[in-house]
Amino acid sequence: MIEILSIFKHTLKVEVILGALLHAGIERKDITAVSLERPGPDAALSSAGPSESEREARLELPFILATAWAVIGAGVGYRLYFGPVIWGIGASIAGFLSGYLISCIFQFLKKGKKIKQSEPGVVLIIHCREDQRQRIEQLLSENEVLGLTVFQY
Amino acid sequence: MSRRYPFSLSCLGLSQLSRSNPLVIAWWSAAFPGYGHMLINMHIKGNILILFEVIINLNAHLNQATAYSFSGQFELAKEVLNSRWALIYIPFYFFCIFDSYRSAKDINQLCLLTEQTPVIRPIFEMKSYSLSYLDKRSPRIAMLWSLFLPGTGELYCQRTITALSLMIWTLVITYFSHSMESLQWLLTGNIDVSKRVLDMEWLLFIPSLHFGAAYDAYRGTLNHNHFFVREQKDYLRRKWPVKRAHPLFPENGWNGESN
Repeated sequence: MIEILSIFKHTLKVEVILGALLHAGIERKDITAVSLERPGPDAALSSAGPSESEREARLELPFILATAWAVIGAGVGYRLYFGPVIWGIGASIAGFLSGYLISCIFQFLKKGKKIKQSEPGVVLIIHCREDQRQRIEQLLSENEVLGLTVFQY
Repeated sequence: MSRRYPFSLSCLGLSQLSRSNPLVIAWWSAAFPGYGHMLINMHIKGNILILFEVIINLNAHLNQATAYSFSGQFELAKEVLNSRWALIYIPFYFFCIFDSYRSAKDINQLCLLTEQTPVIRPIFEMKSYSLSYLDKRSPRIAMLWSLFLPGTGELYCQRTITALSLMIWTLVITYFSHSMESLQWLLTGNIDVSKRVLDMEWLLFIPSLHFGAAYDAYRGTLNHNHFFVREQKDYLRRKWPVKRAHPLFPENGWNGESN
């Protein structure tokens, strides 16, 4: 008997594969699906929602400044050569970029350089016979598997 | 069913509890009254406020006064402002900021209360009139769509009620501001005409309308994905527990038949 260990992202595909494996004759007790948690002090926070995540925090200020600058730019631009539309768009782009820069600097000062964390995924472990191996490997690779390995014992 | 739950999906869209910085919510209420409430999923309240904002702002000529003030024509700004409407705007404006700030703080508390409860909620609803489900979507694509046409990004991440109202407002505001007409003149090199056709009263709604919608769509899609993952995790834990005495999980033992 062998164990096929594979890793996936959390998508609908995971459930498609679980269904397909059952259909292919693998028994439910031979399939293990475990979802990974992010280690460290962030783990508790990450379950509370993505709003606290860096990704969003980095876009809060850019959108705020883009809006504010666009209003001011359009107002001021009313009397300038190119008119409110061009000045408004220009100011909003400048506002967005400056906001992005400021929040990047703030984050850098706050935490220092941080390792970019990808989202934790799902581990599927399938217990099967050697002759089922090829079929399962093919099934997994057709469904966005991130990586797989086979144990023999 | 538990007393509080973190999200709800139906054919009318997805609502969810998510953490936010109350100051950011208050800012969006200040930029466009009603947007703060929209961001924290109080769609009906938000839309009532947006309607009032547009009516009062329009009649008070507030945006026009803003444009004149920024371009240094203070006398004109004073002249154009209609005090019969402008004074009503003040309590309305501060109520929006106050109420969205307060609600955002409450919702942060509700997040704490619901974060430990396992998610056993419908993630799929099909009726004869519509279909709605949770899956993974791209926050960037949602943002781009809403940047071009506010409301489309919201449709993408299933904030349907807000999407409908944003699309109606986009049509109205774009039409009356003459912004597309102005852009056309600008592209053909007639800068003077392009300035003259613009209606500043309507034009100054556009920055907050577009950027607010883009931010809302981005945030909405992140939350949408978050709850998809969270529900799937709980489903896997519930329905696919570790069953065999697995070499990788030796302490779990055999409980395969019980499921």
